[in-house]
Amino acid sequence: MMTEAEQAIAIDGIKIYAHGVGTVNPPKLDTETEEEEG
Amino acid sequence: MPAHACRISQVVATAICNLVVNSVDAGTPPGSVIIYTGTIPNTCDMALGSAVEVATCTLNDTAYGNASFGTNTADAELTQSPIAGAHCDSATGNASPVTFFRLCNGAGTAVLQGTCSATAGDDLVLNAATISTASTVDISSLIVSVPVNQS
Repeated sequence: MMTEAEQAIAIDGIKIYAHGVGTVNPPKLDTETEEEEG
Repeated sequence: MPAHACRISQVVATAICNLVVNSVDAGTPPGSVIIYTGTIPNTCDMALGSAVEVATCTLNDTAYGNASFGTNTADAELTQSPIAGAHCDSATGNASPVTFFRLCNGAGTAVLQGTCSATAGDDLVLNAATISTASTVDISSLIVSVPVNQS
């Protein structure tokens, strides 16, 4: 049987959160190459 | 008194937060933020299953700074999140929407995973639901926090 102190630290798991943001940019068109070819 | 009212100290919360993010630099850094489409595994240790990599964003060689409480007494948070962000020059891409991400060390071992989409409320929110081939992807913020309130 656990003591009161042991019960106090008998947690299910530590909570950790992650939150963030990101930016997706479309592929760059290789216009310089097209100009050279033209 | 509520049935669950576990609290941890700020010192312990800070140490846990640092343990998580310092794990990203284990092995051979830099680590990465890998974005996937498909079903998110139930745990971070599970295999990817049918999930497919869509973009791999490389972190700085030292991914994160030190966790701090600062003026926030509720959570231990990374004051820098992460250093220089994470960048992908040319995404693999996929027509299906992204669903989750994994924060990995240099060996590709997952340290943490979470949901990812263009919907507010997910763990990592992008400005687009899908990532096309050769897109660039920048993760400007990925804050890891450990609250003192564990209930």
